[in-house]
Amino acid sequence: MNFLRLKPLTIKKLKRFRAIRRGYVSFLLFVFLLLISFWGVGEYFVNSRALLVKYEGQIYFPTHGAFHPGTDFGFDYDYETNYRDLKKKFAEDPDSGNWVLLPVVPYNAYENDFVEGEYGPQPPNFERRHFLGTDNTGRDIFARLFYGFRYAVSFALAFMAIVFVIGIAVGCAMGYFGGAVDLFGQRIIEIWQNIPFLYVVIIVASIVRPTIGILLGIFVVFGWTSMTYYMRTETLREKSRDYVSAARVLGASNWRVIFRHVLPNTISILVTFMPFTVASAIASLTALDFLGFGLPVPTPSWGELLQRGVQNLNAPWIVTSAFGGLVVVLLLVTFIGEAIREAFDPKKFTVYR
Amino acid sequence: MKFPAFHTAKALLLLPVLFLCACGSDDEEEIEISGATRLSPEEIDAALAYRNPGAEEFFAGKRDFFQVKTEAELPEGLVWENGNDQEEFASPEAIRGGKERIWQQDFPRTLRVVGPDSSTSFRSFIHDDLSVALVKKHPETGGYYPGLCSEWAVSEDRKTAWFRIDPKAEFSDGVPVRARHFFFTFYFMQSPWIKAPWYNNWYSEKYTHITAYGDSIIEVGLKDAKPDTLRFFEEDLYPRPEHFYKDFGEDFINRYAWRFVPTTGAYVIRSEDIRKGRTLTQTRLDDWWANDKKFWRYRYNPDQREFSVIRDPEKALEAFLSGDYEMQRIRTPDVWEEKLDKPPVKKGYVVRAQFYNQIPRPCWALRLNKSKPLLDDINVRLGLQYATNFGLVLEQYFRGRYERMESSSVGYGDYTNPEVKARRFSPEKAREHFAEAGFSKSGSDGILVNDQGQRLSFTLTTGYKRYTDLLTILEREARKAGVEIQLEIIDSTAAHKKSSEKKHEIVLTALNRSVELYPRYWDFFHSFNAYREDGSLKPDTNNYTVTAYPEWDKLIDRYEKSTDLTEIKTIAHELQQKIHDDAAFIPGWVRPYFQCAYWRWVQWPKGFSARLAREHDELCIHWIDPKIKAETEEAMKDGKDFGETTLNFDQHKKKP
Repeated sequence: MNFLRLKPLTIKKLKRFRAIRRGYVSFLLFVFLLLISFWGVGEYFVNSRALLVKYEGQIYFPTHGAFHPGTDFGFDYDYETNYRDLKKKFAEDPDSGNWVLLPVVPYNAYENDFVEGEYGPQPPNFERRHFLGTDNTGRDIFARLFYGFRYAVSFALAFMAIVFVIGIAVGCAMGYFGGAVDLFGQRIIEIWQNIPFLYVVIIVASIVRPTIGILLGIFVVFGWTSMTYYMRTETLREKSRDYVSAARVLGASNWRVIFRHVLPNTISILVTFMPFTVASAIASLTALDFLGFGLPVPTPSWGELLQRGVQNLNAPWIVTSAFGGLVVVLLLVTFIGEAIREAFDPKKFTVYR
Repeated sequence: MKFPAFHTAKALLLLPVLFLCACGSDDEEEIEISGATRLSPEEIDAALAYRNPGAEEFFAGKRDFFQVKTEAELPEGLVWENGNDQEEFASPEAIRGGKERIWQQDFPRTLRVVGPDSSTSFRSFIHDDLSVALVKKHPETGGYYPGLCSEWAVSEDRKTAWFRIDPKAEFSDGVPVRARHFFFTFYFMQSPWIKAPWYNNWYSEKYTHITAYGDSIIEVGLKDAKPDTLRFFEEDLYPRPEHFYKDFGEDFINRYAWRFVPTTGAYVIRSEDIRKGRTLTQTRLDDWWANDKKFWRYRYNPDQREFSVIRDPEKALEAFLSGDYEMQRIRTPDVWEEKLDKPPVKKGYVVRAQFYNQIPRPCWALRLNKSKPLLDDINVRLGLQYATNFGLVLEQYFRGRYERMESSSVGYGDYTNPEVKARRFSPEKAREHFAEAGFSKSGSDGILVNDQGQRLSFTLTTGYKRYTDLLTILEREARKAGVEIQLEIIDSTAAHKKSSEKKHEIVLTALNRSVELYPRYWDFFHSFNAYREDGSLKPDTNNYTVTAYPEWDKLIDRYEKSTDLTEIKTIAHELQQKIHDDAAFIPGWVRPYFQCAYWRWVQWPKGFSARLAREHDELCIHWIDPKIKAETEEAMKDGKDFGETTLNFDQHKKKP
């Protein structure tokens, strides 16, 4: 992984990135959001399972591991314990020494928390800890937003990683080897790009139940092409530089030239595109979900939330939450992208290039 | 970024070309052939004399089926009836005039009423609720009243019916309706050119013969006797204007897509009133032949009905509330309660009405495919019955406004078995049954597993996106019984295909039922519709539960053949009990009424609608009162308040 070793110039660029406050703060915020929503971590903040339960002198950690049927804690049912009820039950009998510690938002993204006699979406209610209200079926909006973020971001990151690998490989090959590879490669890509992506997704989603894997697959299959163009031009340009010729004269193999000389010099393009790729992947997934062709029901998703919000404009907390969330995340990513672009802008350091 | 400027330029260049092509084909299509204009007396004579060569040949090849006799040859001893002793359901107070504005989600793709793209909701406006059939079911009494005929007779074996065509009956182009037009219907509906296999089959399978006695009496024979013979003539066998189909041929689908067929109904569409993609206007015939006919007078009151397109139902609701449309159908409780809780309703400009009707209900139900592993086990099915919490759905999703469907056949009066009650949600009972099927241990996620480690998990398929919320409630609740339901909510066509090919595990569908005397079972529970002769699953049938029991088959065969209503009732009750015991059909919900909202200038007869009406606009008995309209518009300017009005018509509500 030699080519990933940071050069002094790159270090300088990163320092410059840190100096751009807006971008850097956005970056920190985004990483923070990523961390707390991450698999295994998010469950400590937003979850219907309790963090800690002390029952009959024994301590339980229900967050992880197998579910506890109601019978474990003195209920008469075999399905998963409702820890909010458990808390109420323990509170009625304070002398027993039993207690429950619930997460900040004691709901998961799926359960229907109905209030008797109340119908439709419920406005934010701090007492019940529905901080952003509920949707038509009594599901907590905050929980759906939170876990929806997890799905959207993991999807976008995975998408970016795969697309970059394919894009770099194909683009580099076309740019470096040129000739027939370039000619045919480009034609194939041009043809490929003319397949209407949205229709394919709609057709697939209408026939099978789309899972996150299938969706990712379709996105990648139709999303890898644009990256190849940038990589191809970058490689072409680097290839004609004197230092590449020098390396070849010295007998460096194609492999070595590509990984040692060409790729490290294209890193700024890659880094610049990263945030924008993530942003566009989140936006596309949300758009698909909005149209009803995205993640399978009842997976929490932003598009679904937006769609629901638009259908229920009389419950403005739904649409504002979804819209607000989307705006914040896309803004953060865009700020990061802007800052990276500025930091990696060669004009800052050199007049040549 | 992705598309170079070149592509954009290419696209821009192509656009006008496409546009020009489109215009060209449009112009060609609009040849002035329309059934909306009245013909001259000579033209009418010519139209009556016209004989379609293809039809002539067809009739000649089937002399037994198409018989022509003289009026003198009419069998003796026929008991003629006319149903005129029943009361009218429209109101003599109705005022003719005004314009009714109606919204549609799509612009109709054709004016044809048969063939591809024709069976849309728009068809009911230009055909089903409009065209005059030979007879019609009286929406209050359940008897029949005359439409195109002035009287009818039915043979004792209930296999033959005679109709005397009303001498006044005519098409909108002025051509009188004659026996010949019914002959032509058989030719037309059996033609491969109409691309409607269902109709092709229906018209070749269900009838034995049609005989014309002179020009005005027809006799129609049916293959199977039915207690309710006239039902056949209520929805089918409309006369078709032979003279209009002079160009009937292979290209029928396109050639006749935008030609307005002469109708026997009250509204016509003139060519100049079709603005494709935008609006379409129907105009009332001033001198409609049935203007003074009992049961038809005082109906179809607005002078014009204008259809325009709004794709988004939410937006349409807003448009309705701002006065762009006269009436609005209400399907879900949230619209009734929240979305209509707006100033026009509060000030009484818009009225909400709820009408209890008594019709066979669309059977919203989960159907379990018994040919799938696990679901072939009665205990698993019973467990699923108890694991399905429709109670919570009714309470929360439908807000206590709908009722539980108790059996597979609800709304058939005496033919519904009152003893059969759907099983209520009970995780305990569900777990007991699952345990008997070998699923007694819980996995780490709370889903039951059997000794082989197999999870108790099923896929529920549906094409009804609008019920997503409802299904997520069922899915969550089922977990309490230890069963996982994976929701597969797909395109309605794909879902239909999947379930009619029996590839589903559980499917949520409803089959809309027309108003019939007693329920059908053959389509849904007979082995004929489950398996082919070679034992493979039979596609394209409605036996979604894949029920194939020889014992049931015998019962159903007897039921189908029977003309004795007492026997039919006994078997119907027995079958409902069997379906309940078999547990492959989880009954859902029924809506015991219809609801609508309308601007207060729309007026209705005293009882609002009739017992067997499905929707407010089906019978076309409302009218627009210009005085009240002016008064309301005046009041809206001044902000005058009429007081919120919500009407509830429960004269036909079932007493518990």
